[in-house]
Amino acid sequence: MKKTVTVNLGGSIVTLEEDAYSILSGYMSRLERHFANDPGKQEIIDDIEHRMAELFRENGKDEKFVNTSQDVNRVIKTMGEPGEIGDAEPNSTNKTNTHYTMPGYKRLYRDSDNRILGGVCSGLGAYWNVDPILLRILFIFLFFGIGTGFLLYLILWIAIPKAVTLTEKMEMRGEPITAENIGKNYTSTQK
Amino acid sequence: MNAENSKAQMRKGVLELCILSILSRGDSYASELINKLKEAQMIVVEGTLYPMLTRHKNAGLLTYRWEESPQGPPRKYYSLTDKGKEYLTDLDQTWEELINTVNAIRTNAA
Repeated sequence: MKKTVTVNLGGSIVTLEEDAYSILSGYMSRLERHFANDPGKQEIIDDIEHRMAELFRENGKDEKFVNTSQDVNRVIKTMGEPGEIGDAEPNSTNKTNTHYTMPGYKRLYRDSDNRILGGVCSGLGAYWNVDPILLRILFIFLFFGIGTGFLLYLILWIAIPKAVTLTEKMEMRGEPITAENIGKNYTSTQK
Repeated sequence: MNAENSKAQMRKGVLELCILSILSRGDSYASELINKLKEAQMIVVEGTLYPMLTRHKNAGLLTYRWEESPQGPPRKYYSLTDKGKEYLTDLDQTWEELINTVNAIRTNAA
């Protein structure tokens, strides 16, 4: 059993297995890098995507067909690696690596998926990258030891919003909010 | 020395002439061009074609229009511009000369 990913490739819907998708997106970013400084970059890549979608269609007949890593490798072989395709525009001085990801924007939420009481400790744990158990022990200690622990917990419970939507849950863990991650999180909640 | 490499270089040099010649006989879209070029063993990987088309279009030698296709999304139909026709005439002439002189050298008649 494998997860599938659906992508828009040059205006066509293509369904891929997850590992096939990561091969494809690796290839696309190699192309992006190769043509990074080419004035016709976007157009070249759009055309290539267009053609790849056509090749996938010839293979699978319709968009419900799930392409495996084998299918993707075959299409990539037909299109060629950037080195085989030919040189990027001569005046281009290829920057080494223009690929970067947006750092995840982290926010404090209550984590209701891993909660014991209100999800305060699991939320704080996600925010500080600490095992929530340590925080729970600390709160229990504060509760019995000093007595203000429960009040503090209540205040935090009221003050910190619960992570409800997928985006909020991803912000809580500091994951970059990209289509790929949303897809992953979505499919894993569906299980 | 690798003969395969030299052969690839030769084909690469005349690929432009082939593409423009096909288009001079009528408008065409990328996958049709690919089929013809593959049949003639002019290209090994399909990706080669796209940077070439885009560059010639940006240089004003080619232009394209979108046309519906019987299956799948619309296709880009490329056609030669007047500038492209002139350019091709120029290349054609050079090709003729090249064939003659190269053959002359090969058969030692020069």
